[in-house]
Amino acid sequence: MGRVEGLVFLASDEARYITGVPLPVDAGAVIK
Amino acid sequence: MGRVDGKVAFITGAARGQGRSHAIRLAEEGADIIAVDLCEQIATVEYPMATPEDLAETVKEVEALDRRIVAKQADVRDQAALKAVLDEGVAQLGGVDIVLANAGIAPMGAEDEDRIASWRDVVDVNLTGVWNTVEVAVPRLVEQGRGGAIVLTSSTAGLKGIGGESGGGLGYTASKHGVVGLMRAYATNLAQHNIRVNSVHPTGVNTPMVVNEVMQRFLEQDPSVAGAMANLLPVELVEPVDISNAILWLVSDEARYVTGVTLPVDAGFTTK
Repeated sequence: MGRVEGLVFLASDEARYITGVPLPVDAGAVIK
Repeated sequence: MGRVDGKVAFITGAARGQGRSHAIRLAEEGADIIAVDLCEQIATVEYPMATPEDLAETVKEVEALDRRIVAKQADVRDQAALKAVLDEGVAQLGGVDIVLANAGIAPMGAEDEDRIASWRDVVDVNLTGVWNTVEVAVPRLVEQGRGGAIVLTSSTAGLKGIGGESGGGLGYTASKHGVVGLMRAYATNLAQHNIRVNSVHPTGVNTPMVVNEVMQRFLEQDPSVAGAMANLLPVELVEPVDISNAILWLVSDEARYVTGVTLPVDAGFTTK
């Protein structure tokens, strides 16, 4: 669910200037 | 139905630029606003800073959306003053759910710079001010027990060694990197309370902090910096609403499992 919503955001015009970004949707797993 | 219906957002630097845009965008999606801005000049900053009239315009635009707003002049460097504004806003609006530590200065490009004073001011506002903003909000968020979302405004200069050689430029880059450390530490500490913390990293944005004679002089004097300011996507400056939309997503339930993330909104600048 969260992953799908992340994709919708990145694919939308609201993210029109977001490119080249690795976006974790991981509940904070990578910062521990 | 708005994406942040019934939420209250505490926003610093809300008089103009990105902060005003965030207030309006979140209000459009159903949030009430607690707005803070210094609305005064800082001695080492040569470009004109926001005014009380700017803050009044933010109030007018949020109220035109039928949302409530509590707006006060306060200095992010003064933790007690920030707490007083938050307390009043919480009392009037019924809590706080979203915290946007947005206030910042960019004192590079000043003529006859006092390097020590410029460094001190930019670190005080951009780093200690962000810390103060989160510090006053965290006890509230934890006590309320309804989670929360915090977004710290960093910069591409929080990820890359840009910003030039002036005291203000070095302080800007150091402070924006420091914001990332704060973000990661708070994300770790607050996860147990279901409070998410992320940072956004804009490239140049079409705001009075960037579009002014002092910043233009800085960019012209150092071609390497000016060249480094070029984005990958064919856009010179992004608009404030582009940052607001990224923040709106981060603070909404759509990003409920996104925390500890540095999100560039930079037209590909940091990918180069």
